[in-house]
This record gives sequence, C-alpha cells and structure tokens, in this order.
Amino acid sequence: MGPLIPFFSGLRWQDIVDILLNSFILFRLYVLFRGTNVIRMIMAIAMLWILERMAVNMGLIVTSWAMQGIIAAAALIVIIVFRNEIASVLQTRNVKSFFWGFPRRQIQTPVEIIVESVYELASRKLGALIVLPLKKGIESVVQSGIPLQGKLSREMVLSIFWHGTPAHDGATIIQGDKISEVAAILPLSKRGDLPSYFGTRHRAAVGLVEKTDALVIVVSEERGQVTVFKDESIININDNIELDQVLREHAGALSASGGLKRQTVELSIAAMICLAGITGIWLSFARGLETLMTLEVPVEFMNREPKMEIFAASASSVKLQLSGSGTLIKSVRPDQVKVKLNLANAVAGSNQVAITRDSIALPPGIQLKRVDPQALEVTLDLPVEKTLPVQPDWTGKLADGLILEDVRMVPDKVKVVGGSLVLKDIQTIYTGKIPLEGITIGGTTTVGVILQPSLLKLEDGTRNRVDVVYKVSRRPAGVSGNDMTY
Amino acid sequence: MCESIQQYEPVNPAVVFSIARSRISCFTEFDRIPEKTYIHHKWYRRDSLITVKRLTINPPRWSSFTSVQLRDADKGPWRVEITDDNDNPLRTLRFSITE
Repeated sequence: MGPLIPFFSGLRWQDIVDILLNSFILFRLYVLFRGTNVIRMIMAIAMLWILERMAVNMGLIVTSWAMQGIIAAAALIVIIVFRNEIASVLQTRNVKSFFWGFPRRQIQTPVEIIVESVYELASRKLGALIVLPLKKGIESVVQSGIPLQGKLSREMVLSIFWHGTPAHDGATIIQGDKISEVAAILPLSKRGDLPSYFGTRHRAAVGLVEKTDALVIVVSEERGQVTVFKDESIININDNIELDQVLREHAGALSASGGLKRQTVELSIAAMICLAGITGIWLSFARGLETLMTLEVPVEFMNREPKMEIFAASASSVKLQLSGSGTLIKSVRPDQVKVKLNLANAVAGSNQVAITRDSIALPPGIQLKRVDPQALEVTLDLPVEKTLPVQPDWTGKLADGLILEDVRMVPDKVKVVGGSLVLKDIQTIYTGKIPLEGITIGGTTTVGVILQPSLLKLEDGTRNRVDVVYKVSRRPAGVSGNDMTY
Repeated sequence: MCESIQQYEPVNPAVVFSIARSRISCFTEFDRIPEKTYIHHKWYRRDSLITVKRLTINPPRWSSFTSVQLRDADKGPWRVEITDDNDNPLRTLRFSITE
C-alpha cells in the first residue's frame, strides 16, 4: 500500500468523480454487450492496445505502427461486421436500462406455448427445427429465411411444420413472442462424431450452436424424439417438464439460486476490473512523469465599465509555464488555456492588474508554475472628441534674404478622438515636417497631420491631410533686427 | 512674432525664425485701455510651457513685448498664448524655430 500513497496524494474530489463516472460507463457498456461477439472483439482490441503501448515503450517502431493500423482496422471491422448485433442491443432497451438494472434474457418468450407446440409436433411425428436466438446475432449465419413476424401460437407452429406446407422445410426462428422467420437455412455442422441417427435437421442445429449462442429444438420426424442443442450440449428431452426447464434457463429465468449467484459474482468481478482499468488509465494520464511547457496566451479583458475603452496595455499576451504528466501536457491545446483579467475595479487612467491564479483557466490536471509578467499595466479612459488647431512643423533653412511672414492652414482645426486623460494635455496637432529648402515664393503645400500618441485618431471621415498656404517676402534692406529690450 | 523691436515697433514679423537669430520677440499692442491692467505671455515649445511673463498695460494705449533667447535645442514648433490677468485667452501666435 505504501508505494501507492504518492500516486493518490493530492487526489481531488473531481478526480474521484472522474474515475467513478468512467468506471460506471465502462461497466454499463459491459453489461449491455456481455455475451455478444462485440464485447469479445473489444477485449481483443484492448489487448492489442496494451501490446501496442508495450511496443512503443520498448522502442519497436514498426511493431507499434503495425499495431496501430490493426487496431484502427479492427475497430472499423467491429462496427461494420457487428452492426446488427450492436443495433439490436441498443434498440431493444429503453433509456433506463442503459443506466440501471441488469437485462434478463428474453424472459418474455412464452415458454408454455413452445413446450405445448413441441409436444404436439412430437406426438404427431412432424419434423421440426426451431431456433431461439439469445444475444449473439444470427443474421450473418442464417440464410434465405422468409420474414413472418407473426404472433407465436401453438396452431401457427403446427401449421408451419405440417406436411407439405411451403415453409415446413427449414428452421423457424422465434424471437420473444413472435415467429420472425420461417424456412430459414442453417449452416450444417461438419463434425464427424455425431450419432448416426442424426439427420439433416440435427446437423443444422449443431452447425448453428457452434457459431451462436442460440438454442435449437429438433423434433425427429421418424422417432418423434425431441432434442435440444445449446452450445456444446445435446439434450434428449423426455418430457414437457424437462423441456420447460431447459427453455426457461435459456430465456434467463434462472430458477436455481446458483445461477443468480454466478451472475452476481461475474458482474462484481467485471465492476472491479472496470474500476481498476479506469483507475490505471487515470493514473497513467494524471500521474505520469512531470513535464513542463511554456505557452504564450493572449490576455482577455472582461467586466470593464462599458463607457471606458482600453487605450493601452503593457502586454497583450503572457507566458505561462505549465506542468503536468507528459500525456496531459502533450494534449493541451492553446484554446484550452485562457487568461482573463477582471477590470471591474479598474478606473480611468493607468491600472496595475495582477495576473492571479484565479484569472487563469487551465485544463484539468495541469498546474501553473510561473507567469510572466505577473501584472499588466492597463490604461483605461473615456473616449472623447476634441477640436484642436493644426500647426505646421517647418524644418530646414529658409534662404537668406527671405522671410516666411504668414501661414494659413486649411482646415485650421481638426476633430480628434482619444482618451480624455490623453487629450487633456494636448492643445495642438502638428503636421509632418515641411522642408523650407526650395521655398522662394509663396505657395501651397499639402501635408499629413501627426497624431501623437498613436492612440489618437481623427474623427471618422476626416481627411488626414491639410493644405499649408504660406506667404514669403524679401527681407528689407538695412533692417538689422538688433534688439531693443526694456 | 518678430526678430526684434526697434523704436517700439516690431522688426521683420514672421512665422519661421532661424536659430541663428539667437533671439525672438513677441510684440503686443493695445489701445483704448480703460485702466491699468496686466497680461501674460506664455511661451510653449510644442505643448510644454517654457516661460510665462507678466506685463503691465497702461491706459490709454500701450505696447509691450517679451523675448526669449534661443538655443539649439529649441528648434521646432512654438506658440505664445496671450492671456489677460484672469487667464482668459486673448490671442495665440504660432511659429517655428528652424536651422
């Protein structure tokens, strides 16, 4: 027990629910499909999967690839080949039976009618071949049956096997309280150890029980003898009571307490295996070798005051260092990891918002090791409009002897949209640099406006360029421009 | 805005001044002044306030000016806001200091 303690340390209640829920689902699938070929195939696939994992761990590259291919093909084959069996299991049960209870085996079959009919056939020496399927589908084994779907009755059975009727040759299949098919052809057994007095009917009965879990009743035409075939058993029926008992056991009405006890033990073992299997899978996922990974995750902001806008953030994404078992870490998708910062308490201006564990959503089983950065500076502001004058930004050197004596902007003002705190300190919008070199006379030039900081923008539809109309004059001769101050 | 003041008159009013001039002036002239009052010349380089000067204005007509010494780092767009004693804007003059 000691070595297991580290595995189960830190087990959360969610993990226990996880294991129990999946164990229950696996157990219910077993209950629904037990006794069918599907469950055997699934077990075989599970064994292949275990072999494939072993091959991977041992570094057998080609073997592991081959196993993967076989598993994929086998899963497809199970669905295709056993589609009827799967459908019959799923269709014949109500929703409640999927989650609770243990399905009995066709106890609604009217055994008394079958017993009476068989007794009547035997007493009249009418040869008969009656099939009672159990859980395995017989559709893939039986051929050329004529669908009937008639209510089971003694008269109907006698009519079918009456001498000379078109359907008397072949097997009659009874499912529940209905005769589903007549004149069906069963596969003949190739066994050489059958008694010599067994005719074609007996050989067909043996052939069917070799391949399915159905029970087959044969009434001998020559001797009037009733024989029941089930699995490898061949039971000669001497009286109605014996036939009744055999049929009831087949139908699931387990009279003997031993049968019920056997079923309880079987289901208990199955439940334990399911629990152990899921626990093993869970441990392999959640308690594997610890692996680290770093993920850059975009930050989502929520709950900001509707009137305010985010004008700046020190980072738009954060680096998260995550740890967990190798399997879980490999399965992490970027969209499963989210960083959501709550701006409910943020105010206009600069806010330091800490990135806490509560603001990070991780997939189950993944732990957070480190966050970088641990806080973001987020600038919120109320967007406002402000009309500001435009001023030219001259650069370079005007030719000697010239004076740029006047300038006019068209338009002289622009409407700017931005945060109220930013716009509060901005009184002027400047143009891009306008070179003075080459200017000798007045004229007009067109230049773009510079919105600084870049959070500012012009009102929608406003042209980003202004005309600069300037006037140049010659410097008057003899005026030196010496200062006179007071 | 002008390069200098001579005989109580602005010399070479302009909107672009060379840094080589080393000094520029803001000349203001008022008439029909009912009583002694004060005005301010607020000098800004871009949107940064560089200096504020308080000037006396006497009735009935008065001219006054302020000047700043230019340094190489002063190149760029400037403005002078002229306000009354209650800080009400009277006029804004815009100009540039260049090479």
